[in-house]
Amino acid sequence: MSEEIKIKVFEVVGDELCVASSDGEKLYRRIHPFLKRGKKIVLSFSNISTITSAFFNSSIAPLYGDFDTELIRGSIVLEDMTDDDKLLLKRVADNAKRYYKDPEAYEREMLEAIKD
Amino acid sequence: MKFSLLPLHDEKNGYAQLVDLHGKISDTHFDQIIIDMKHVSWFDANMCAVLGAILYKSSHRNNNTNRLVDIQPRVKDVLAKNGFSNHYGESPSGDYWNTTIAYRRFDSDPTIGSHEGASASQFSSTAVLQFREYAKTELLRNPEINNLSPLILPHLKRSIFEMFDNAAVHSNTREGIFSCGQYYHKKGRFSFTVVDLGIGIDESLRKHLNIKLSPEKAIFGALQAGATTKLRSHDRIGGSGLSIIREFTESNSGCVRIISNKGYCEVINGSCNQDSLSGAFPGTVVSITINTRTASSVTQVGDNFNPF
Repeated sequence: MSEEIKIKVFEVVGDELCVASSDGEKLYRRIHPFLKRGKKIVLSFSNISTITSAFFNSSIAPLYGDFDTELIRGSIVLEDMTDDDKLLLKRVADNAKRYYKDPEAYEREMLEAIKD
Repeated sequence: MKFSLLPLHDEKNGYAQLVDLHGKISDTHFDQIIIDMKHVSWFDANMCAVLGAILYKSSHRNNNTNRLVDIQPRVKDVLAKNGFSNHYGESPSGDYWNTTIAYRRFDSDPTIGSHEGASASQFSSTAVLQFREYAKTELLRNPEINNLSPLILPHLKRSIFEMFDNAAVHSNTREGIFSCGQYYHKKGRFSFTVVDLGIGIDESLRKHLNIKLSPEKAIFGALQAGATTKLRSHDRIGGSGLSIIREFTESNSGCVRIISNKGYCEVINGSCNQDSLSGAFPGTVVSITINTRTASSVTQVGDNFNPF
C-alpha cells in the first residue's frame, strides 16, 4: 500500500485566501511530484477561507494535462473543503478534462459560444 | 480646462457621463483639469474607482493636474470617507459606520516597473497579492461585511477576488487597477467596482483569439462560462471568473455591469442588456451590486461527492 502524503494548502500558500494564480502554481508544483510517484495525497484546506477559479485553474486543472483522470480521482482526497469550493473545483476539473481531451475541439466550441 | 459633472449613479447614464469626461480630457495635455461638482447632488461611492481611473490616466499619460471643486457637503463627506478626495488635496474623514470600502489604486511593483517593457504577468501577480491585503483590511475585517449571511459572504468574497483577478490577468494594463466599494445599510445593498486601464475585452478577444466583435458583443461573450483568452498564450484553461460573478449576482437578485471600450452590458435579474456608449472607456469596468438581505441558493453535495 502506498504511503499517504498530507499537503496543507495553507502552508503552501501562506494565507487563508487562495486567490492568486501564482499561489495555485505553487500548489501544482507541490502535488505533481507525488502523483508522478504514485503517492496518495490528502489535500487539506483547513483554515482556508476563500478560493477562486483562478487558483484551481493553476493548481488542479494542469494536472489533467499530466495524468489520467482516474489516477487523479483515486490519488487525491480532499479534507476540510466546503461544498461550495467542491462545486467550484468540479467545474474547473470538468472544464480541464474537456480541454485536455481535445484542445482544438474545446477552443472551437468556446469560440462558437463567445460569438453566439 | 473645466468640466461639470451631474449626479453620478452606478448605471448607464453615470458611465456615459464619465466616458464623455474621458473623451474631453484625453486630448488635453499639460493643463489643469477642474471638475466642477456643484451639480453633483449624489455620487455612488463605488463610482470613485471609475472617476479615479480616468483622472489617473489624465495625469499619468497627459501630464494634467486634476482638481475637484465646489463639492456639495454630502458628496464631500462620501469622497472623504473612502479616501478618494485625499488624492485631490482634501482631508480624509473617519468612517464611523463602516460602510465604505476604501478607494485604492494598485500599481505594479516598483522593482518591476510600469513601463512598456514590464511583464504583464509580473504586474498581475504583484497586484493580486496587493489586492489580497487590501481585501483583508477593507472587507474581511469590516464588521458590517462580516455580519452578512454565511449564504452570501463566501460568494461575495469569491466574486470580488474573481473581479480583481480578471482585471489583473486579462487587461494587460500596466497603468493600474482601481477599486472601491460601498455598503448601503438601509437599502440592504453592497456595491463593489474594479476598473482597469487595459486593452478592453474586445481587443483582448481580437489579440488572443482572433475574434472581431463589437465591444458590447465581446462583453457578452466574455460572460459565457469557459470563455478564456489564455488557451493560445498560456496553453492553460481559465475563464470561469466573469460567469461566476454573473451567476452569483443572478442568484442574489443583484446585478453586474461591465463597461469596456464603447461596450455596455448589464445583467439584472438574469436579463442581459447590451448597448453601445457614445465614447470609449479606456479599459474595463466590472461593477456588482448585491442584495445583502437575499441569500443565494444553497447546493449541498454528499459525502461521496468527488469533484475530480
